[in-house]
Amino acid sequence: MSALADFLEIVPQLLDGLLVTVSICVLATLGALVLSIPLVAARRSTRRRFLYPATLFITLMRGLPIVILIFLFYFGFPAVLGLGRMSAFWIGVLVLSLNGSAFISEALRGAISRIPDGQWEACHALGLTRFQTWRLVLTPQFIPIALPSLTGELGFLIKASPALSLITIVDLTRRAQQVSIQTFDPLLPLLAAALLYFLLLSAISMLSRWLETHLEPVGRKP
Amino acid sequence: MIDLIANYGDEILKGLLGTIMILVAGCLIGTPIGAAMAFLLISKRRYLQWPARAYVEIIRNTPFLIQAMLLFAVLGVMRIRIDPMIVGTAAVAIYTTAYMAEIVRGALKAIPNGQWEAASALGLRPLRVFRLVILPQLLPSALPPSVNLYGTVAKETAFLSAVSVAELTFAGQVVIAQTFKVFEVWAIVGALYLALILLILAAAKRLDRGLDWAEHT
Repeated sequence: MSALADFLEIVPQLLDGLLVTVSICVLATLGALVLSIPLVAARRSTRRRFLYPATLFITLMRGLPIVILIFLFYFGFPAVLGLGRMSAFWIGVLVLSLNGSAFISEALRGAISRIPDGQWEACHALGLTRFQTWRLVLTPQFIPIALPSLTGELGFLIKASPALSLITIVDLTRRAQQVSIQTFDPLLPLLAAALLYFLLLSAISMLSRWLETHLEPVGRKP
Repeated sequence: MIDLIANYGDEILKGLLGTIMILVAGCLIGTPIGAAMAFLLISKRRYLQWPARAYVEIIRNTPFLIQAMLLFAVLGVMRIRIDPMIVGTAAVAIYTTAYMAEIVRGALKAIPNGQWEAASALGLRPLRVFRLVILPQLLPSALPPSVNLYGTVAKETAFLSAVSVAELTFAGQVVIAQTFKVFEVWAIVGALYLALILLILAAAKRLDRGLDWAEHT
């Protein structure tokens, strides 16, 4: 039983690490959403000077491990640009936002391409401006598609977030290592961290599934 | 940059080779086990389904780095000494198994039950039902996401540098410790990852286009 008591004693010590993980990932998901809007616009553009950089960016984000991205942004770019030491926390938010935006923008782009051309034409015929078309007709149809993919992205970023522990951020993973060193116990703090990650990610994937079933895209309703 | 490649190119290429070896071995082990686990996931017997479901959920809902650290810690506590490359490969195999099980389960679910029944009504033994009827329909839907998974796994292997497995990211850290060329080394390492991963993702895309014979007929 003492192992269980030890275990329960460790969990509260990890909570500040959990908070760091969650706050970085939530900020990054919001950042990713904001960044994905111009990205979608550029990907849908027929002008090469928008389309090519956006495509290149998305390819880089899909093809590079998050660990390498974090190292490039925290060590590489500041060294070559002579920026000195940057805030690890905000570099973490930035990298996860950039990475997330590539995936969210592709999900949004897929959703947009599924909207029938007739809607554009109908809105045009009704005399709506482009902005009104987006605000009144198109955006309400995306929200049901976008919300589950946003929560999915949050989960994805949390799974990638232990990379933050490699650049001195005291996230859940790093905190577990610290407690492990303090208590001379190599196993229990890691197990406790694994449990916290598991609970967090399970809750997010449940939320994502709930949103998916309860927010039917408008077009799909009979 | 040229000095760097001339002097430390070997080191980095050895790292790339380590990453590829871990990736290939881990996926070769994880793929068949995961495919087999998919049959447990769709089993109606609870004592088969539940442990498999628990395994898949635990692996899919925890970060890869935590899994790798736990594996190393457990071996450490048990005082078992194994080459870190092998432990890293095992971590990749454990991870691949869970995701592969879900992919194959999804593909199996798309095949109507009537096909199993019809095939066995024709007198085919279960193994032949699988090989002649189910597998040809399974492959087009399961293969592209599997190859995509290998791309994701390739990205995850970079985490193994944190538990001192001698792969590409670790090689980058070793070279940086000797040269202090932070940007150059991460740019080179990044380019190598990019080449490897984009190659895998391109293969997945190609398979997606080339293998949909089931839909054409």
